[in-house]
Amino acid sequence: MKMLINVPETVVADGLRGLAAAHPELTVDVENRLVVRRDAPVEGKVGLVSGGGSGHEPLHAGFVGRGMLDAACPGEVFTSPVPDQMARAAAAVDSGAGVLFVIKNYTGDVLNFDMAAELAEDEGVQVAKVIVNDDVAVTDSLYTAGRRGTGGTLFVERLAGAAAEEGAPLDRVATLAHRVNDGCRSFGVALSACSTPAKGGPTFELPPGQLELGIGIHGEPGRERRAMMTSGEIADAAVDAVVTDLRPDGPVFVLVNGMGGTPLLELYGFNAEVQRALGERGVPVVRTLVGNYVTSLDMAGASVTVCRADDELLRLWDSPVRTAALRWGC
Amino acid sequence: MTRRRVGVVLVSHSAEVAGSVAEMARCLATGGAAAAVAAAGGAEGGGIGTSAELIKRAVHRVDAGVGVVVIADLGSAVLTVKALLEDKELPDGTRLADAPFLEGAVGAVVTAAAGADVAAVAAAAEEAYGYRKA
Amino acid sequence: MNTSASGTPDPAIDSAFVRRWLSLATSAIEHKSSWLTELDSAIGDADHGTNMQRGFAAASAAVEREPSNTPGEVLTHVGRQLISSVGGAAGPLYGTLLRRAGKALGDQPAVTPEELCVALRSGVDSVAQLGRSERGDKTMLDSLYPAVEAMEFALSSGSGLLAALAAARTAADEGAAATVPILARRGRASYLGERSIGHQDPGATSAALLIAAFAEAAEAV
Repeated sequence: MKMLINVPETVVADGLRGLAAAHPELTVDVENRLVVRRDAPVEGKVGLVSGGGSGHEPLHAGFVGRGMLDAACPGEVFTSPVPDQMARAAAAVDSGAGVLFVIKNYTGDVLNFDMAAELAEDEGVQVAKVIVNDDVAVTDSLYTAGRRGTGGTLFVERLAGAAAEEGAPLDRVATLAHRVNDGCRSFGVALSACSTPAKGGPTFELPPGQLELGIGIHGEPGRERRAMMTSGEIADAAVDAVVTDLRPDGPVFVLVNGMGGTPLLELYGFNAEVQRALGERGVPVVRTLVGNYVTSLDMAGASVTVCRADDELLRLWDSPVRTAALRWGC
Repeated sequence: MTRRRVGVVLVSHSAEVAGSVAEMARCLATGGAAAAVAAAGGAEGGGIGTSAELIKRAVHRVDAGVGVVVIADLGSAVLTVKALLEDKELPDGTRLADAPFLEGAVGAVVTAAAGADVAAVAAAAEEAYGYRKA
Repeated sequence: MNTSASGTPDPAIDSAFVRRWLSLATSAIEHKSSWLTELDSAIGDADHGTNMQRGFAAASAAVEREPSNTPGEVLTHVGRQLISSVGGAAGPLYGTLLRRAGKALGDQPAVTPEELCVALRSGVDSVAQLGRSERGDKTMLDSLYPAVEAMEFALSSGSGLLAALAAARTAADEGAAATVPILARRGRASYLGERSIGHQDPGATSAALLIAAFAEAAEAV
């Protein structure tokens, strides 16, 4: 498989160097794998720190900036970062108001962030945690590692980040983050497998003519494989899965997210079908985001995330945000 | 210095045959605990056959970095090992011995347990063709 | 000093013993790295070998830079380095295993086989607690618990260090092989459900390598 890389060993470092070159408003520490807002720590503001394996860009480094994250800690491709990174990030962004860790629910991420929280607390930083687990494809949470964190992460980081920017204290930012996570559901569909640089090829086999419903962002298996479906049929399946689980009784935000290998033309066409499917089920949509935000390297496919909205969340969503990947109002 | 032992893998069409011969060879080797011998017998889901997966797993299990001698019973067992070797699917230093199954296994395991190198272990297995019984 | 059946005296369990273990474990992990990754590509994300290799290389370098005087200190140091360099779930789990075991050894310059065994048991228990898993979930515990129990049994039946660690090594090896038919219930493999059956667990396999390295460290005097 051809890849636009030098050698597999340096993909994460190379990507960070490029991010630094494109975004002087970020402090990028390539050696310690840390991306921080240049104006951190912001006086009196709760710091938001997230991180996870690389390969899901722009998540998380692309969400660092005003109104979202204060720091991101990228790990190796599909491997959680180590606690030292998050502890260092917490120290860099803490202004005394405390730090919220936004953690996607994967065994490695949870363990490493837990250890980082202990390290940071030893240094006198007050830490709160939110674990994002929005992927409804995982039906058996008892005998698995539980629901995975995917597209809902964007809503948690954006809405909690906006609240922190407004000066909300740590307990309120954390409560809001939990509330947003509770109101988020996602469902992903893969049309092709993803290829990691280390492997140089696909990490799983998806036969031609088939798709996988309920795929995870590292290629974890979903609910079932089926013969290829149309965009409209996929939208119905995805919307059914999230709406059945969430049972929204009011307006929602929608993220139609590309997995990395699907053209925007297809994503917008898919969005039209997602909006139709939500409309048919009586779910009003207040804001929609379409694009590649929580990706899985070069995987073709998309995910749908639905997030409950209310007046407070809508105001926070519309407040200014200035990051590499999301930018409005400033 | 630590003495890493050469591993021995017995590949048979039957899980029972491979397992029993491995057990017997282990018992005949003095200081049997030091012998690294693994059985790869039968098809993967059970029954008579040969499984590349089982062979790979067994070879990796006994491979301590100083070589592995594989002894196979007949036909497809031999061919599967040869194919794995050709495709470089087995660790470096793995070789297929041209040896009778049971006698070769005992010779190889006894020699490996004594700390011999991979060439000597393979030779011990192959010499077993020369044992006269009448 | 205890003497094994073959007449070889048991070595002291001092900082040199643990450094010998580290060097043997590092070379075993390096040698088996691609196999661990191959096992992981069947039920995980194909990086266990790479991550473990990176971690043990870092730990070896760190221990060389700052040699410690007690076995407990060396183990604790290795555990800390693994946490800081492996990533994934393996980093915290292996790091906690060794850190807890190291702390349990205290600051004595040498410990008895029984003390080493108790320390390993407390390390393994802390892995179970941290990973919220138990034996039979298709994890590293499936080779670690049999190893510790075999060692406990051997020591309580009067065996010395060499024999006890040899028994632990065999039990760990068998435990790793026995993960093949198990359904995964923890970590990324758990999402495979039934499809995880038929594959050997990479974590149980790497854990068995670390136990084997203890047995080799005892032989290597």
